[in-house]
Amino acid sequence: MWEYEKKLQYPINIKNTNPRLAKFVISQYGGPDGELGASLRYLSQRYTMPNDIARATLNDIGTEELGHLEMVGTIVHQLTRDLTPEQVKAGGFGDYYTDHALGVYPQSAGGTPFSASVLAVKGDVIADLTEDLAAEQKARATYENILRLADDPDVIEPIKFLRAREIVHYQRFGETLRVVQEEMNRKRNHFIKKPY
Amino acid sequence: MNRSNKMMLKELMALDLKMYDLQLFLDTHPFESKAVMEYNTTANKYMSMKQHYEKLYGPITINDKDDNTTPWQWIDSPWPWQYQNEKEETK
Repeated sequence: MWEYEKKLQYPINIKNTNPRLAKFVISQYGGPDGELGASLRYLSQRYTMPNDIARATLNDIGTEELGHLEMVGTIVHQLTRDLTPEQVKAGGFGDYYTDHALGVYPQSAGGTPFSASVLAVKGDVIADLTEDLAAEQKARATYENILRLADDPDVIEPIKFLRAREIVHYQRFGETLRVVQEEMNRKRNHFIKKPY
Repeated sequence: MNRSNKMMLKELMALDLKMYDLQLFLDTHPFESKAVMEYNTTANKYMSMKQHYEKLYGPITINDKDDNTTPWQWIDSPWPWQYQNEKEETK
């Protein structure tokens, strides 16, 4: 289970609202390479991980991603808090506002609602860990796209932090994949039931 | 949220991040004794600072408290997604 800590992983205090920027950032909440997908991907894959290192890594990175989901939700909320209908219209936020008002809804920047089809659980350690390596790179690339579009230092600093964490996760998944492959070589596929 | 609250929370976040980063490192390097020692030292600092912070500004976690008072303090301090503006607070 999980226990809640009443704090963010990194401070966020956004002074100026900016609905246009919120619509870009929300992709990391519920978009194809966002934090919700990341968390569900690792927390669902962990059940069939074959050794202690892989189980711990998937569990703990999946948990950190939940904290990142909270950070991205906080950015979106603070960028849109107390917007007036005039600000909504001027900021190009009317299409989102019509369905969700100022609620934070998991969707991509293009408006596609979150879907579990953005993640895969293959039940195969090599397939899953290789997917995770790609997922971290896709999240890093998305944060870099957002950084090119953002002009507010209050938003840029936490996004830079999140980008850096993707790189750390990529590193840890790479080490996990190496450990698993070494073990498979040693044990001659001991933990894999041969399908043929 | 006043300045000293904010600064102390920032220090707590820094210690917490260091712990989490070491935790992920140790997940894939479970025999790195230097990192284990570093984890313990950081966790020790974190726990005493957290205790001090919670006495001043309210609970960060509620599950480890047995000295709760009425009214229930958990709902009192701001939630982390709420904008913490010093000027607004000191009005």
